[in-house]
Parts: sequence; structure tokens; C-alpha cells
Amino acid sequence: MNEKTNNPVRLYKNNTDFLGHSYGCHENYLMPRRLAWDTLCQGMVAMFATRQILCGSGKFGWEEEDRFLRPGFQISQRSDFFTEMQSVDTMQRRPLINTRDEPHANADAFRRFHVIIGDANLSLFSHYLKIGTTSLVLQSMLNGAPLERFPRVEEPLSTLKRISRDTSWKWECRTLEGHPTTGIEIQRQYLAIAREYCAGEPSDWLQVLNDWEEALNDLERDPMRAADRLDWVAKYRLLEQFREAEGLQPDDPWLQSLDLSYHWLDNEQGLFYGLMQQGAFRLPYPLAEICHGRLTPPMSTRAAVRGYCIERFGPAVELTQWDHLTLRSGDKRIELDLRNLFDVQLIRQSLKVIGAAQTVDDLRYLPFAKLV
Amino acid sequence: MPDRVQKPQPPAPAPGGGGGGEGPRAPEVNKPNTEELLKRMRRVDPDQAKRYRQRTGE
Repeated sequence: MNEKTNNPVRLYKNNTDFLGHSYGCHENYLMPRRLAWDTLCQGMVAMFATRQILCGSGKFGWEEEDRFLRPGFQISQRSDFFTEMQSVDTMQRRPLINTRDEPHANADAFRRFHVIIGDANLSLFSHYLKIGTTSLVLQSMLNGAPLERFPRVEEPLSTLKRISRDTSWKWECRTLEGHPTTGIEIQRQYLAIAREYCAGEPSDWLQVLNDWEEALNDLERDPMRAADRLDWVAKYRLLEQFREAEGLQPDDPWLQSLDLSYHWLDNEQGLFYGLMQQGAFRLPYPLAEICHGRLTPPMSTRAAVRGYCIERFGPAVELTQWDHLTLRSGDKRIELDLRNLFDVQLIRQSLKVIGAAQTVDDLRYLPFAKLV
Repeated sequence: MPDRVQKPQPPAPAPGGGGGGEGPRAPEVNKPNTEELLKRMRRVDPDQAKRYRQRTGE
């Protein structure tokens, strides 16, 4: 409740107000600089134009920057708002490829690949596919997949919108050479590359490949088969059932209010939560593991090192950021430089050192520690 | 690519509503009780979206 106005405060996890005002759900991928920027961009454009068939959140309305266009369903919340191929902007004239490069790591060795085109997902499976498939395509590049293997689409910006607004679910488009193709076919090409170049990755990632393929198969046969995983399908099916039951026209503004309610973060009122409570969604991992992960970083990351230091010696922490930590030890300070801490073995050894430390002072034995 | 295999096991039992167990996923998916959901949907104010305004953001 807002104490000043006495109005209830509602939280929504979405990307639009249906009037052309959009706000993002950004992803950040830490990428070694050895991968050329042009290669990265050229390889990813068709991915961003088509991955919405897996991870769009669905929207009842067509918009463009700063205005509502017309009623009608589309599979993505964000695709209406992209008008440029590449730039640093995020709030107007948004680009398919964003160039913001502020890595939370050694900037000489790494870049940030800042992705602003994703929808805010409610379905944990959609979210998992969004991050998982994008990570696998990026990893394929790092594992040596040649650029010429990656699909390219003609007029990516108009393709992006056309796919989002295509309620025939065919998602037809053209390759850069002008050959007819589809969003599903483009995704299958990315999947084939990832299967070939990420075959040696840990089993979690192989599971993403299988789930990616299953979702594409279902989308091809009948998209409604994916209503137990994908946000846009779940939302569309639910609202269509309601529309038919209530005899609403496809342009009834009530549909937008229901769309909004899908994203309402309220267990009692939100429509996504209504579906979740009925067990209508599959989960990529057991819910207990997902909940645990919200507060516990993977033990192979520097986040675990950072978190463990704070857990063990929180009162001594003077300063912390993504890539460094400063702790007071008597009249000295111990600075932990995490900018290059990505080696899994080193991280595991460091966790042992932190676990065995009797005092803050013992952290000086970490190989990235400096006593000042 | 980060190795996610050796994560610590979650200490808490699975909250209700899906998941749990030792398998990699929760495969059992129920068909939604449409009537219950339709009731929830009928409670949605048809004009709610008209009152919803946001500023463009990052």
C-alpha cells in the first residue's frame, strides 16, 4: 500500500504498458575478446530475430515506439521496439545488437555482450530456454563454429516484427540470399551447430539441447503443445479460452487487462501464478533447486567466492563489487581481485581456503589477494 | 561455459506446487482447471490496462 496515496502497489513483470513505453529484461554474457565483435554480431542477428518463438512472453496489442498501433496478438512483448541494427541506445531507437561493453571482469580479456531484446519471462522454462539456447550459440562460436555455418536472415528488423505478429505460426522469412525459410528452420540450424560444437559440454547443457529440440518439434506440429513450457503459448491459450467463454471480440480491451494480469506478481490474483498453482507448467529443474539457486551461486563461479567470503567474514567486509572485495584485517586491508577469477579449479581451491580460514587474515593466502 | 554439475544439494524440501524429487525435471504437468482460472480472470477489471502507465526504461 502506498502510504501517501493509500493506493495498493502492484508489481508486474512485463515489458510494455501497451502505449509504446517499453522497459527491458536485459541479459549479459561475458565473452572473451578473442572472438571478433563482427563475428559475434553477424552470428547472433538471426538468433535474436527468431528466438522469440521460444521465449516470447506474448502480447495482446501491436505498438511502436511511443504509441499503440492496434489490437491483436503477437508472440513477443519487445519486438515492436527495435528499429536499429546496432547502437549503444537502450531506451529509444533500440538496436538488435547493443554495443554497451562494460564487463564485470578484466576488460582487456573480456567484453560484455549486452542483450536488450529479450522478454521478461514468467515461465521458468521459457527463461531457461532463452538463456540456455543463447549461451549455447555463443559457446559454439567460442568452440570454433565458423561464421559461414550460422544462419542469416534478410531484413532482420522487419523479420523480427513479422515473426512476432504472425499468428499463422508459420513464421516465414527469407535468408540473406533470398531463399524462403522459417523461424523454426533458422532455430534448427542454430541447434545443429550447437549440437556439433557443444557436444563436450556438461550434461546440463546437453539437456538444454534436447529441450530446445523438443520445443521446436512441438511448435512445428502444433504450438499449443508447448503451453506447458512457453509463456506466449500459455498466455494465448488461456486468454483464447476466456475470450470464447465470454464471447469477446479479438479486439476487446479486456484482453489487454488480462494480459497484464498474467504478469501480475501476486499469488492470489496473477494469472501466471494461477497456472503454476495448478501444475500447468513444466520446470527445467526441481522447484527446490531453483529456489535454492536464487540465494546460492553455482560453486564454480566467482560469485560463490564472493558470497562465501561475505558469509564467513561479513563484518570485516568494507567494500564489495562484482569483481572485487575489500576486507579489514586489523590495521591492514586485504583486497581480493576477482577480475580474472574464472578457472573452475582455482575457484574450488579458493573455496577450500576460505572455508579453512580461521581469521580474515588467512584470506591473504588466496592467489588473487593483496595485503595493503 | 561454467560447470554447473557440482552444485550443493538444496537443503530445503520442495515447496508445494511442483518439482522436487531427484530427477532433472518435473515432468508431470496437469491440465489447468479452466473453471477456477476463468473465475480468477472474470475478477480482472476490464479497464485495468487503461490505467496502467509506465515510463520507458532500460
